[in-house]
Amino acid sequence: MVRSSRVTRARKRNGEVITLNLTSMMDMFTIILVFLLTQISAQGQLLTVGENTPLPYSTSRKEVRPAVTVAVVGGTISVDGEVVERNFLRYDGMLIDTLKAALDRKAKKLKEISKTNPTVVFRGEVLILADKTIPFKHLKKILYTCGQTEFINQSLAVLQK
Amino acid sequence: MAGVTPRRVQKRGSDLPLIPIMSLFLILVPMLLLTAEFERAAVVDLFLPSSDMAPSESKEKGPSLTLTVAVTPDGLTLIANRKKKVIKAKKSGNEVSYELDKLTDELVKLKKKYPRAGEVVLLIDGEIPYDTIIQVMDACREKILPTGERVTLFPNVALADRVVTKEGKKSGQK
Repeated sequence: MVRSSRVTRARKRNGEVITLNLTSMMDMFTIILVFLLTQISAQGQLLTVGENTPLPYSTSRKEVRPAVTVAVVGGTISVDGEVVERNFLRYDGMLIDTLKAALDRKAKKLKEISKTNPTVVFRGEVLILADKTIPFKHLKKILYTCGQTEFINQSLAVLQK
Repeated sequence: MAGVTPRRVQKRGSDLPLIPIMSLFLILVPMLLLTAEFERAAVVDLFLPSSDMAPSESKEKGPSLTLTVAVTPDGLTLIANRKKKVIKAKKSGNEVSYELDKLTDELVKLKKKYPRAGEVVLLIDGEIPYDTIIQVMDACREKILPTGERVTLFPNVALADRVVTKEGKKSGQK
């Protein structure tokens, strides 16, 4: 401490300006900035994956298209982020009534919009975000119910490997 | 020696005003970190078999192929034009692992024989987890060579439920 204060005093006497050495920090920031800029996608996120939805990993490289999303975690089903069913496991049959009602409402709404807005075309596309641990016997109910409504272009959401 | 400046002057003049750039970086870096996607999402399309999918040799040139892969807890069963091939699963405790490389290799052979075929139906047992289904679909869709090149095999994958009837006979139901 004694030495450093002496140095400072000496510098002050000589009229030197002490500057921070920022070059190394600049280097670091430039690298981080370039890395993050390459990571960013110009289109933005079409799909927000919740932390509690562990999606499976796949080798697929097909891009996410705008579609109605059906998320399945545990027994809960949500359509476009809105919970429509808290426990679908209680259904013995293939059809999940609450999901069907919600999808029918969605289809009706999208068709209404497409009447006035020609840029919106109803193609019946649905994206299913499902927990990777759910067995097929539950998943097939979701697929079947979507098929019973007008959403027949079904795709599964995955994470790129 | 016109290019050489006196030592003292050079020292003073060489300092770039880095602080504004630093401030900019300090804002940009956290912003980009917040919006960065470290895991990219993709989609796997489901194929719906239509009624005209039934094999008809007159319509298309060359022999047609009806390809089915049954996925059960015991393993994979490949049925190509009624020819069966069983690929047994490896079991260690509760863990079941499928030899998907073997399946892909078999499919590569079939693709060479029937280059026009592109459809495969998966018959899936009710207890198979979703993760396994996606992996089997990946194995059917494409083969990734060590060079990173992708060879398309049977890109149209349809899912069907594997139903065991009372007589113990297996049949598919969509």
